[in-house]
Amino acid sequence: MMDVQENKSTDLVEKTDTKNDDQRPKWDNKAQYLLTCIGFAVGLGNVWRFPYLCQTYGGGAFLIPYIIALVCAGLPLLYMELAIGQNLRTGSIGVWNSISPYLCGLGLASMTVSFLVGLFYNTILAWVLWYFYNSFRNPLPWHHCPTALNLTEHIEECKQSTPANYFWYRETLNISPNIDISGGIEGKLVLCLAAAWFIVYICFIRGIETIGKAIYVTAIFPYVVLTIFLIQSLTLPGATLGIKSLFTPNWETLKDPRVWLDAATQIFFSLSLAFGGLIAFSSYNPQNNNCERDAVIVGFINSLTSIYASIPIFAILGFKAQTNYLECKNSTINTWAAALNISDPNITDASYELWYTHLNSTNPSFVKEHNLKMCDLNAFLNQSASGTGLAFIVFTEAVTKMPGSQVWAVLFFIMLFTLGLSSMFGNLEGVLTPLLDLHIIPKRIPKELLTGLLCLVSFTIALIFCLRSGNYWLEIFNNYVGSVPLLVIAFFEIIAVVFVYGVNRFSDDIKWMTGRRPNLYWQVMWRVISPLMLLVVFLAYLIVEAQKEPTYKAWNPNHVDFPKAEDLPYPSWVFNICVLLPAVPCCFIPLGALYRVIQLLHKYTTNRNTLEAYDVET
Amino acid sequence: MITRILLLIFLPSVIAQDLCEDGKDGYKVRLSIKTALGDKAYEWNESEMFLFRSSLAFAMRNHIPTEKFDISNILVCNETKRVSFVFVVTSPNNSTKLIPKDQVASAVRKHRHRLNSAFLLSDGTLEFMGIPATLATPITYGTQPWLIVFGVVIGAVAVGILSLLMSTMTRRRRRAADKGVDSGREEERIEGLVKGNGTSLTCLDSKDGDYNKAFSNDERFTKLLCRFGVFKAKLAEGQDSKTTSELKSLSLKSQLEQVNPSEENDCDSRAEPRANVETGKGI
Repeated sequence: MMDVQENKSTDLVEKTDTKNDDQRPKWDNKAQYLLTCIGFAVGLGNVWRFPYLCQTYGGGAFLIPYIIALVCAGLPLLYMELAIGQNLRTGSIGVWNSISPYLCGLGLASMTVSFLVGLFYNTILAWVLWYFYNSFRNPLPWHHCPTALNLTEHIEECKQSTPANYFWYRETLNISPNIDISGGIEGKLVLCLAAAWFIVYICFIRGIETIGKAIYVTAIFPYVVLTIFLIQSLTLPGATLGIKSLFTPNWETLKDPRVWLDAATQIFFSLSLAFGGLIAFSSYNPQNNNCERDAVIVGFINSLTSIYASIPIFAILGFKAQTNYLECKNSTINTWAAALNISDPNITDASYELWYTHLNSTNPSFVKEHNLKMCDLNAFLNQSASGTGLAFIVFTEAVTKMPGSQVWAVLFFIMLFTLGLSSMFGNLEGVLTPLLDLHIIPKRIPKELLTGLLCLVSFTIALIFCLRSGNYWLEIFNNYVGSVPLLVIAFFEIIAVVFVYGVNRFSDDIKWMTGRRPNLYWQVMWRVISPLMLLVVFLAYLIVEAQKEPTYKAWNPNHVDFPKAEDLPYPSWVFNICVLLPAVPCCFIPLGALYRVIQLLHKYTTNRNTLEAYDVET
Repeated sequence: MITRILLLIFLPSVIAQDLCEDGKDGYKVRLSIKTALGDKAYEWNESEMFLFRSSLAFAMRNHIPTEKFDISNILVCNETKRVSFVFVVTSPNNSTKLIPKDQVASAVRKHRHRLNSAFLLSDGTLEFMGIPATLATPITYGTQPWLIVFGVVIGAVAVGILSLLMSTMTRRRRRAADKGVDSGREEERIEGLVKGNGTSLTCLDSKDGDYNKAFSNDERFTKLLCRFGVFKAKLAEGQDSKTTSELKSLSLKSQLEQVNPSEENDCDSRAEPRANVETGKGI
């Protein structure tokens, strides 16, 4: 083992020789580096996943498991990744190779996951671009249902669901009823995807040199827009309703273990750990940079942004619920007045409930016959969604009810785009830096060409998401690639640093770099709590996922319960792909170790053969 | 005689009632005046009904120009306080014959806007049950607006990419031109090192002080390196009295002896690599 390590050490020293010829790019200043890390960590999930979790799991009470997960697992891993990248000054493959040659597969797994996540993440940005383009229309195309050909009524599919739903599922995605039917390629989505990849390419063309310039806009602009939305949303009626529903603590939820699991996974995925992107970014730092402070800054800003973003989002959702409730009341009043043949102003907002109770008690059959229902405000409030549903359906509907809807729509979609773009930089950097550090690409090929090729290949593969069944595939990628492999990689990362490399040695390195040993808090977290927590989270996540049926929600206009989504099981060929997607990156880890063992054995046998040859001669 | 006269007088209205109440060719109308106008609502009375009948007659006249509809052709019944009623339209030639439903419907649809405006109401508040309102024609654009915005974005991005590529080209050309000048100086430096004692310690020549800590645990070796580093720094600064070339020609051991113990103490705190990083002074 020691022989191999020493041989490897000389190999590596030679490699660092050729690398240290002044050509490793550098950050222009500390601000760029910090903004890039913050931009990578702060992504779409902060805006559309955290508020949903907060509301579902009892508002203010959710913050407790969230902060605990941040402190126990998020920050230690973050600090570790930043320190390791800064110390060893290579991308993820080089870093783990240096720690132990048997871990070369770990870097490869990180690179693969970054690549796969980048594929579908940019498709979401393509959808955001499509909505951005359409926000310049007056009236907004998702405000009203389009009319049928004879102009007497609206299109059936739209009438049964809502205009926002119709615009998303039919006019944007043109979604097929299930994943088996691939349908054709949507031309407009291909154009938007190409535009998204072009924009990513222009920012990424020279690696961190161009990223560092672009990040000033893409990292800061979302905060500007969030502040504008915060101010505007607090003036809307019903805003306080939404914020109250978000933050009212429901301490009972803390007893449910799933809350803790979701908090831990949310912190973990939100900080963009295990992608290799953070390692790549910090590898361009000078070695005396204070990475402890950076880690704490990035971690806390990420969490604070989540909380800050949830306020305007929920204020606007509260406004939407209130408006929907009033509309519902008005239409029910009209139907009742028509059914009961009373003159119109007799049922007012105030007497609404009295009428309903009176009717129910005196003539319940009448109520049933005419299908008279009460409007429920809480039902409207609980209609919150997460993910693309929140951004493209719920929020767009809310925007149409605001005065000056085009402006708000444009601002919102630019914000989403810049949030996602800064995260894309991290994903792509997690692929590019290890590639460059592997030295398999000849020096003659300019970096611009390499990044261009990377973007082109990614664009071509991502065309599957432009099929009519593309959204279903994206959900598969999102659920399977962006979850389990990351947990596995992070677990092996911390095992590698704590048990293979040794925390003492690591602390010495950090002392050499920054002049201070990591204090007791970090030592305790690294040695005991973080590995334990990661293991528990990983196992719990696997158990929960294994218990769930592999089904997906399909948008089928011919379904009995339309507009409710249809729950369909995955066909077997799709399920095989679902299993393959997380398995491939995870398999690189043992395969890498196996490869090294084979190499070692090969060397050992050749050495023995040469020694024997000498013996024979003497 | 009187009964016959009375019958004759009341017959048309009775027949009219029958025709209206039949309900087969009639339409129910519902008005929600207070909902639409609030405080400015007017009272529904005989005159308003007269207006309704006359505007409907107008609509029928316009729809079927050959026949001259009159107010008497519009029959109304089943009036309620909510303000809803049923109306039927009789033919001007034959007061017992009703105009078919679909013709009435198309007449109403064509003139819906006029009817609404006559009563200051809208499609929702002046409802004809069973006659769907014509929806507003969707706005059709010549060039889709989204294509315009898309074109602008793509154009800007393409310009950006081209300019970045151009700047790379010019930078590369400039660097190639400069390289010719620099190559002479590089060779001098390498020669000096080799003269040291035959070993080229090029791995220490990195300006960044890059130093793969993972593989050198050896305290002695690192101290040695540090002292050499200090020596080189002094060389660069030109602090020593001996000339550069003389120093370079010494053996490694003698070179290291040039370092004072006081300067060597700096090596314990490993300040040297960091200082090099900051000031960019090479080893």
